[in-house]
Amino acid sequence: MRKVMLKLELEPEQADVAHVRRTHSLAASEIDAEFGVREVNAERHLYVVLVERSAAARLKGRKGVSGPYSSPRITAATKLDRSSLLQG
Amino acid sequence: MVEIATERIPGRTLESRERLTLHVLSSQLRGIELEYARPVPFRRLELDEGEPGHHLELYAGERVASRTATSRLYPAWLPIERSTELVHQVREVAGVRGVWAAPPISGVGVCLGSPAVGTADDAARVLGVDELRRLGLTGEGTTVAVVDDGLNLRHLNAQGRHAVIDTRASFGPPENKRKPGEHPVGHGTMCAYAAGIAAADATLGDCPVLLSNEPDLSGWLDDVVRVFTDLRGSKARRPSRPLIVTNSWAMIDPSLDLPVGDEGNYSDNPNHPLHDLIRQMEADGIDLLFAAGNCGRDCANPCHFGSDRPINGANSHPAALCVGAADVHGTRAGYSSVGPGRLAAQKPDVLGPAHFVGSGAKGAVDVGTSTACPAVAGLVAAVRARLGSDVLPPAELREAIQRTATRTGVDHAPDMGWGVANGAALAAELAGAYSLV
Repeated sequence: MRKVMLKLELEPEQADVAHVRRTHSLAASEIDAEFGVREVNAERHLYVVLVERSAAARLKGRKGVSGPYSSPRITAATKLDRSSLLQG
Repeated sequence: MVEIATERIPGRTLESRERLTLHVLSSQLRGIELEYARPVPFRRLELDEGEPGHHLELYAGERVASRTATSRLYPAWLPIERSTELVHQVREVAGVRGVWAAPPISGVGVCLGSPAVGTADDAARVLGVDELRRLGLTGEGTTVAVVDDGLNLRHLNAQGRHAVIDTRASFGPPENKRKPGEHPVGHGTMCAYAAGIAAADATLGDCPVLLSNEPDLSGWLDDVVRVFTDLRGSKARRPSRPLIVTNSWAMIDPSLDLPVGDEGNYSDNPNHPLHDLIRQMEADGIDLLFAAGNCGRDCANPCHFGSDRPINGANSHPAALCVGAADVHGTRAGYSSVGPGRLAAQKPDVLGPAHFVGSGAKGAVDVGTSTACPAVAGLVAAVRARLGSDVLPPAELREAIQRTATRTGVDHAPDMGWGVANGAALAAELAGAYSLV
């Protein structure tokens, strides 16, 4: 199952996977280390991580944690079958 | 625009089918103050002919109704066949401040699958490419990052482009195994071709996120977050190099999202991480453009919003330019999604040219708001060749594009936005304001 997004409030020096794992008692398998900890708002020190749904449920409501957030499928704005295209 | 009596009096219903031209109304209403001009479509207009004074009541969409209720200013479309009669009647109503109407729409435009209208050369005329080039606005020194299903450089150059990939602005999810510019010819290549119409000298960032074939041409929103944060990093390493990010994707099925009102919802939630990130990117000086989507009410479409505000999420973000589609004659494409948007109501911002013979990358016709969005992104890149975000911040450039668009009314309309992006008018305004000649 695909991991879900959580938004975390962190000091910039805390914005790494090791710190997040330690602070929130996350197993290595529960956080996407390749994705890492990504800044989404510099002024408010907001970061996003990808975690397992079970971990997100555990962390939900903690101070400095919001989400989990939807990561729906997106599609090309223009999807066409080639057969539907006519010669111009 | 009329300020009306609030008491409802039963009367006959006039269906609003077409819209009036402004100049006709202006001549009829000379001397009447046009106090407020935010056109919003109303479901119907009721008129009681039997009452002296002609009380009117308009029924708006819910969002509009709640906003206008406090000011008691009610915008309206008037049925054209009743225009003269209605205008005279409205003038007699106590409390009327003025009457405003939008210009006519010229029928249903093209649908997906309709034959092409013109060529990329015609799109270049719409975008004012000659005027832009005269001012040295060619996109040179800029990067247009195409967030899509990947680019094929060989195809682009076989079509007459001299495209160059900017590997330092090319990012994708881990499952992407192809090098930038070496993807199969498809949707992203079509988008890149459109960006090159106005910005032939821009380099291209290749950011493939729509890598899944189940369903066709799909991806995940967290991959967009990943790519956008990587693009922020690229911008931070090269702060003086303009970066324009064009997005011809959308979330078209609300059942895939968390419900509206849920903390984790995407479509309507300004606090979603991607929406935080878009605000941050604007602050970083990055220009973001999103396709309005092809959920237009005038054509069959694959969207699952019905008639309920399909421009959602990032595509409706106030810090990005939302681009609908018109043919090269300026007629809105029937498939182009209609506002209001879910995050910002006044969406789309503008329309861009589409539905022309161009790239040959995805059939014979470069279609959809998928084409229109990068076409306008090319216009943005062209401007950025001489006007960086330190001089002209993204929000101000968006406003200039809105202000100079070829419009058919005096203000924003949910189907046409502020009008069709007009590079010649934009160039003329910026040349004067920034001494570009």
